[in-house]
Amino acid sequence: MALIVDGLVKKYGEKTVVDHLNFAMEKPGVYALLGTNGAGKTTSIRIILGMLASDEGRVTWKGAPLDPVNANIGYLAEERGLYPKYSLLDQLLYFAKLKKVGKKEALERIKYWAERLEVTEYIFPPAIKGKKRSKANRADQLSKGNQQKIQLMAALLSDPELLVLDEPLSGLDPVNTDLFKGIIREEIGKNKFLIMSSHQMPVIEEFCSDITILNRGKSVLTGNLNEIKKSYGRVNLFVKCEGEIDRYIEQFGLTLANRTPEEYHLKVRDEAQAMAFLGRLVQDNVMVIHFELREPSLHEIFVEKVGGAHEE
Amino acid sequence: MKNKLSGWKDVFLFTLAQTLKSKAFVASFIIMMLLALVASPVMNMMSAADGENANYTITKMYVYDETGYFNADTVRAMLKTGGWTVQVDMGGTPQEGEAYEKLCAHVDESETSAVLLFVTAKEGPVELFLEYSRNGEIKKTELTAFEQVLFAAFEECRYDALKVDAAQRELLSAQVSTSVLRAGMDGNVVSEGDTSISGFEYWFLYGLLFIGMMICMMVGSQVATSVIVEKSSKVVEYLLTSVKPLAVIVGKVLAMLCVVMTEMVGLIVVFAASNAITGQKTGENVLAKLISPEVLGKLNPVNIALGLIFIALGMIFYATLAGLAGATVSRMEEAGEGLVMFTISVLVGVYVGIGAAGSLLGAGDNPFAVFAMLFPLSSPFLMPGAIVIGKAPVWIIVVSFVLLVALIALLFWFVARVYEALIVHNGNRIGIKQLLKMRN
Repeated sequence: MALIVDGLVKKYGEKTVVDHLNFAMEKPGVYALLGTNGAGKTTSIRIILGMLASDEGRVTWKGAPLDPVNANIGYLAEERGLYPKYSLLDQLLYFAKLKKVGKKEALERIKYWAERLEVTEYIFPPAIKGKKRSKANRADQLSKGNQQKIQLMAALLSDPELLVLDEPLSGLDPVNTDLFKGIIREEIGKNKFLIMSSHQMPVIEEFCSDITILNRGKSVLTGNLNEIKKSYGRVNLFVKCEGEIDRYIEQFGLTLANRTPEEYHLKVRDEAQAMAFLGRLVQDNVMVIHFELREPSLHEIFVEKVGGAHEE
Repeated sequence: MKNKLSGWKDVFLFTLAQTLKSKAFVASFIIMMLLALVASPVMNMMSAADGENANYTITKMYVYDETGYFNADTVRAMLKTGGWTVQVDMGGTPQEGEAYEKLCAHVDESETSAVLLFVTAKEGPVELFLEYSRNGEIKKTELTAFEQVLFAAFEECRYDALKVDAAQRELLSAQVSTSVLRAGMDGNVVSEGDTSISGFEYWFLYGLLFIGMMICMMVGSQVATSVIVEKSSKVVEYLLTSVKPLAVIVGKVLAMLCVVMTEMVGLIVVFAASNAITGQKTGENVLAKLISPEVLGKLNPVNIALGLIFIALGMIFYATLAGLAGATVSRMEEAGEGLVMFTISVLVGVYVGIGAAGSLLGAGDNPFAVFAMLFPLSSPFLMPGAIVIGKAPVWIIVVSFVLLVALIALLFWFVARVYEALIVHNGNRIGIKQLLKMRN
């Protein structure tokens, strides 16, 4: 096992904010930490990164307790942080130095990532003849999206083995979302270990192999995403037909989960019931335009697991 | 501990470089250096102007002497040394009755740069009354200086009148000090009397104490601001993936220490150079004029180095305390609230130091002064001056140093235990009770 999170507990006074969190990453890939706001994701990440001490449990990385000072870890925090008044280049070089990256190597990497993330003009602002260098090379002069890019650069400068991304795509426009997704894919391709926290379920489904869903500090679901979905079975049926099919739904005892002008979202008992339902429609010459039987989405699983408890 | 401090050099170098590059530092440094550069020649010019009495306006003195001691030649000569070229008019004698009133009216109505000196001994002691015109151009500050010279001159007149020779005069003017000796059971002297400090030494102590307070407040607020900026901008979350909190605070404190030491050394070097150049040009040592010979004579490299060590330790202690205070708040707007603990600590140290300086002036060596020199909150402020004026014996220096270093070590230990919880804390300010609970 490369990363083992074993029985983490964190309490603030009487309140337990992380309650016996366990998960492990055996091989490179993306592990997702999901949960509602205040579920304990960021606190868990801070403990994993060694920023916060846990009251119980431990985190091991490659067989030894994880030491952020010596391990090569990249971190993109949920609340992005840059020095507002200092030059971007100065602070990126500083962050690289803290990660023990030499100045020459750091400069090359900064140039590479600046071009890749399209922020070269901010980090290396062109000199204007007869004028002082533009102040746009300071963080407080950048848009939120561009600050996020600089922060991602800082996380990637040391070419980390373990990359922790806390809500990496929040607040990005579609173009920059694709840019970030491309970089995340590249890092996965380089056999990196990634831990990602996000509220965007499609993003998690796109990248993550394993997940843990947290609710009020407790893990309510953990494991491989595909296996979790399989365990639910293909019980979601999406049907689009010409004409009404309400009487067929009633006859087969199917549950109507949702109905839109376009299609029905039904819950079936099993695949056999779904196939029987399809057979009947075909037999009665009902024009079936779309028929899709699939596992529940992560969104549905998430809502099922934490929705009720969250509303309590 | 090594792991907890790993990376402090990088934090130190970055903080130092960014502070030295900041406009605020560059501007304040240039202003201070310019002031230090011009201080010596300006003070020299001022004192030269004083010597020449370029602005002195008294040109004539009417004298009404009832004692017969007054000697116009002696007084004129001494006033000349003080910078006044004065015409002395023995305008009236006691036998002339209304002469004094006439002189008063004359000076008041007709003179603008003359004074009237009335010397009398009718009431017992000899008294000198100096009167001047309400409508004239003579200022009170000039009169004060004139009065001092006149007093000394009249002393000379009295000696002359009594025909006191030089040897007798030396004996009469010799300083008399008193000492109370106490014998122990074995007959040896166990303590000696007057150990009080002079007024000048008191003001020297007070001045250094005030400078120490300013430095600690300045460095402390800079460290606290820096911590709050990193907290509020969330930079600290990134830093903590590379270094431990203790390394962050140590790097910052030492960087600020270097910045202030650079300023102090720069000030001393520039002022010394300015003083030397001024001295070469004018043949006068301005520094010697500013600092009393009794203190100047005690200044040596060892005293200065020991004083700087205490100032540096004080800065480390108070800056670390300020860093801790800064970490208890999450927003810049709460900075003042968070720094209350730090400010109170500085003020306690300063007031204990001022009290000790006052007690040394009034009562000499005493237990409170010893306590203040050993007490780690006040020792950084009091010890530099106490060492220079010779009020801190070796044992006090050693014990005070050990106590201060021990307290700094204890503070670092405490900071290492609570800082990581503080630094990622968001929300209301953390009080002292919560802070103490965190150490467990």
